[in-house]
Amino acid sequence: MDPKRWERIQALFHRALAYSERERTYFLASLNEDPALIADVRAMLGEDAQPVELFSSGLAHLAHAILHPPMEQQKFHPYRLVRLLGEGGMGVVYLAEHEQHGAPAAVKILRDAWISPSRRERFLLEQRALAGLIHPHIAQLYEAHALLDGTPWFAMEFVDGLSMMKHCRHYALAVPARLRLFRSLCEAVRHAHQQQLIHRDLKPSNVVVSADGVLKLLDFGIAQQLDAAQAGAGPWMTRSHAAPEQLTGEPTGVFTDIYAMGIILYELLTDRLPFDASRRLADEPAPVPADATPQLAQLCWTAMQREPGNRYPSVTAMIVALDDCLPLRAHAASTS
Amino acid sequence: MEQKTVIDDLFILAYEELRRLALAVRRNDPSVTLNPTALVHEAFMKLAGSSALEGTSPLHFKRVAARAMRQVLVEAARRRQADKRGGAGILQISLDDWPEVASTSNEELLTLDDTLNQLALINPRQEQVVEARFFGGLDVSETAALLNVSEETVARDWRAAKAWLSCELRRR
Repeated sequence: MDPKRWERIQALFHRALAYSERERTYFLASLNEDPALIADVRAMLGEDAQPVELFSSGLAHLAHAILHPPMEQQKFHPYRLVRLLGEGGMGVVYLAEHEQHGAPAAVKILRDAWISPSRRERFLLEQRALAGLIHPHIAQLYEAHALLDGTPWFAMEFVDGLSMMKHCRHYALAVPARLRLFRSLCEAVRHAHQQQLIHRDLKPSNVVVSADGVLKLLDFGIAQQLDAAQAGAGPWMTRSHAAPEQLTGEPTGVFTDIYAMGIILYELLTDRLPFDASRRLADEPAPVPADATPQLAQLCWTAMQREPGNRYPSVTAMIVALDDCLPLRAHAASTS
Repeated sequence: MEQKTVIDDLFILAYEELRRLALAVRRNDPSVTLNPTALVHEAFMKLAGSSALEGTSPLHFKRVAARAMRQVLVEAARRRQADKRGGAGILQISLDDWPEVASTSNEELLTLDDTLNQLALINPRQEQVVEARFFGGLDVSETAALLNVSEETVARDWRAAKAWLSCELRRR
């Protein structure tokens, strides 16, 4: 269409809008115009009264339809997707079963890999991280593949249970039982550190406990190789359990996970978070859980020091301190 | 920071926000009607203070964000279309299984984009009005300030362009 014609159509469209619907018919008929042009104006008036759904329902509905294609029809050989377990910004996780023997697995799929190379890198990093970790308290990677369009996915151990804090509340666990869970978590994190991997996103919702009490650490989505320790965790970290150095974009390390472990221990002891992320940078002393024994309070307090150098130097040091807390002695002796 | 980095960051943010919006639709969250204005605002708040945004006015940011939204959706729709046609023999999907609604939306969006490009040739300002209003959630007065025209002009442009785009969408 040429601009002149479009100008003419618009002028008539706006003039016609000033009339009632009945008058419009006469108005348009009275014009000495190209019939094709009048037909265009008429069509536009009709659309004005009843716009297409796209405009009436808006962007949100469009985004929904376009960005949410169903995964179920695609092939994840040798797994068959059963149902959606959850979705985050990066990808989706499905409960799946093995086509041959029906064993359950969790299938994690990166969605819209094309959006940016960094998404793909992060996803593959998690996959590599998991591949290097074989530990009874870390969900196990089974296999990794890509769809034919290059979308990466992997299958991992499916842990049927509740997140750590929910488990504690649901079963009304007393402090000794909670500390035993915490010790399992320490072992998982220590194993990761021994494989030169920092988790960087430790929080109770990334820890699942099965009904029979077995703890598994999940989600190495922003884990990092120790030797690649660069500044900043990017926009993906969880602020609620982030260490001060993550909030300020300083280099992260083993001490970053130690800090998060301190927060988790505090939560386990008190059922709430120690303090808001914004106060974590202030020069106030780390909080002390009320009602905890002095030893446990000291443990939390040391792990949550503002200065990385004042925290426990390693998870092993933390485990030693934990085992000094009386209720654990028997357990420690039985497992080591 | 370079302009290109700003656009890249915005593109990813726009994507994340659209994804959130889309999830809200699935949950039938009533607050979802507040958007996309809210999401552009939120993206701005997230990026505000970063050196990437230095010297960028909120209005300019919104304009760029609107463009990013459009790009994200067009890009996604193109991929889905290609997948559906089995482009490059890619996905092993049974075509009959693909919900009709999704493919209609892909086509609609791509037609809208295409028609907007045509509109830009005959009236560039109207294309910008639609982009700002529909993809960026800018209101009439913001759009007027952005394009340096009266609010009345924006209202007229928006109404005419919407009617014409609707015709084109129905025709195809």
